[in-house]
Amino acid sequence: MRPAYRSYRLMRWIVMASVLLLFHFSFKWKLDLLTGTLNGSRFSGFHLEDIFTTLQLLFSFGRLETNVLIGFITIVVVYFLVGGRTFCAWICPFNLLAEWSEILHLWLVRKGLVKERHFRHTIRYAFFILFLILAYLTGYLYFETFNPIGMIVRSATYGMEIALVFVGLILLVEVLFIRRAWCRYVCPVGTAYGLLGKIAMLRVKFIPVDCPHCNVCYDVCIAPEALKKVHEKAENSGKAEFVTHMECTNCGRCIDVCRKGLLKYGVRYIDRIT
Amino acid sequence: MGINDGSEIPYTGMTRRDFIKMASIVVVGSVTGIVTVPLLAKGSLLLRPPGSIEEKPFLASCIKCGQCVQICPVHAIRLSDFNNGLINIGTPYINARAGACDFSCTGVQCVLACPTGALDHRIAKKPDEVRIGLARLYPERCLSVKGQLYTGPEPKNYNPDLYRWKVKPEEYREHICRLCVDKCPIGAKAITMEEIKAPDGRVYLRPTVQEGCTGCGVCEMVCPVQEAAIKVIPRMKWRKRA
Repeated sequence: MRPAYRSYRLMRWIVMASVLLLFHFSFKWKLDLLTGTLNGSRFSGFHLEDIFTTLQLLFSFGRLETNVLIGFITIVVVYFLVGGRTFCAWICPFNLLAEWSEILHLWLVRKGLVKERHFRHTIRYAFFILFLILAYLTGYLYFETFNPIGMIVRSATYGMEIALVFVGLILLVEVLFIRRAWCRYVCPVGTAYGLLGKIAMLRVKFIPVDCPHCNVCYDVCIAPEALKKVHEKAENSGKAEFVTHMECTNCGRCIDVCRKGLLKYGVRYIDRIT
Repeated sequence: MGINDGSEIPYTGMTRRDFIKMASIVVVGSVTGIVTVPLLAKGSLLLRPPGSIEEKPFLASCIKCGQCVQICPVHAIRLSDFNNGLINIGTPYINARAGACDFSCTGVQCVLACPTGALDHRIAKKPDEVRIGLARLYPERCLSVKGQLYTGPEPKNYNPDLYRWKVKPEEYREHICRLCVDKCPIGAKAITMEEIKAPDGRVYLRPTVQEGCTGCGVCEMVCPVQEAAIKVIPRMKWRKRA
């Protein structure tokens, strides 16, 4: 178990807040360090382009400019190295708010005021495809009209938007009804990164030595099915195994809470599994 | 401390009832979304930044990143909020009255900053190639047409410190106003003063928009009267007066 002050969760919170602050101050103080939003930005001159935004562009606009393509490839390469949904857990500002509402939600669940509900995560593929079809049919970036990530980053960078009300609505649903509903079942941005994460390098690995099956890791995980899968796989094979499930966000919460230190970050394709 | 006791992990399975509930939520949600969004999507036509392509492909390609906003030295470009329609949310526009583009950056920097081609350098390499709208005169409000001096309160519709030139109050308080013609960054190709003889014999000067008008909106911004006598109509094309 990692103490709170050096937990990955604290590190992530700091990273997520810093990214948002970097967007804010980069514009405010004309630093030109990180311009744009998480849809498309320039980090000290280098183009970065979100995967799902690029896909939407392909469907709505039908053409990708060179800069978009360069940014897209950069992002794909970076997230191949650091693990797909690492974006969700370490960068996405909505995740930060969602995590705080999750804490509130779980507190309400413990008090018995709110019921826990679980659905199949595969529903997110339906949304993923739906939003792409809608981008094609409507001819504009349909999902971007209500993408909470865009709203938060734009509000932080260019001044508050009334649109932020929508973010509040999602968080309310998450607190009162479904734990992490947006991140787990809807967000197509996460789906895109998740698909990349299936083959990405930096991932959580599980070492099946004396696992007491205390299940604390399941409780903190927003995608317990991912952990369940790797537990079964590792216990069958008797070796350490990587979490390759698309739902895993590399948030490292399981690493934080595991009392035996059986979960660790590892690098796939390089780390020899022993 | 687990919420579940470990004998079963309830996350992967789902009861039939839950499934039906969820499926109906998804179906109802998507249907309302698909129906309401295009309705809400009816937004006002905004004045887009220089180099913007046609409105439909513009909306298809603008990723709302705001890099054009960040590069603009006079802060003319802003990102839209809900009030201009859902479809316009996060897209860049210029509120000419509150701060117009005067091509201070000389090289249409916003066009160069756009990563997706929503602002296309192929249609606007230089300031005078920009066509984002067309200025239109409302003669009933124009001081020059009426031959009057301005007497109202000092206009405060934009931040004059951002611009390279200054407007002196005597330009419209002591002389017949010709600010729109004087301050036009394009010059005589875009707007001229034409001498008009009214039916009653009175001779006056009328600002007349020409083919070179880029729609930058400086004329609308500097116009001293309460409601601007010259306004940029977004995406309007120039044609010769009949």
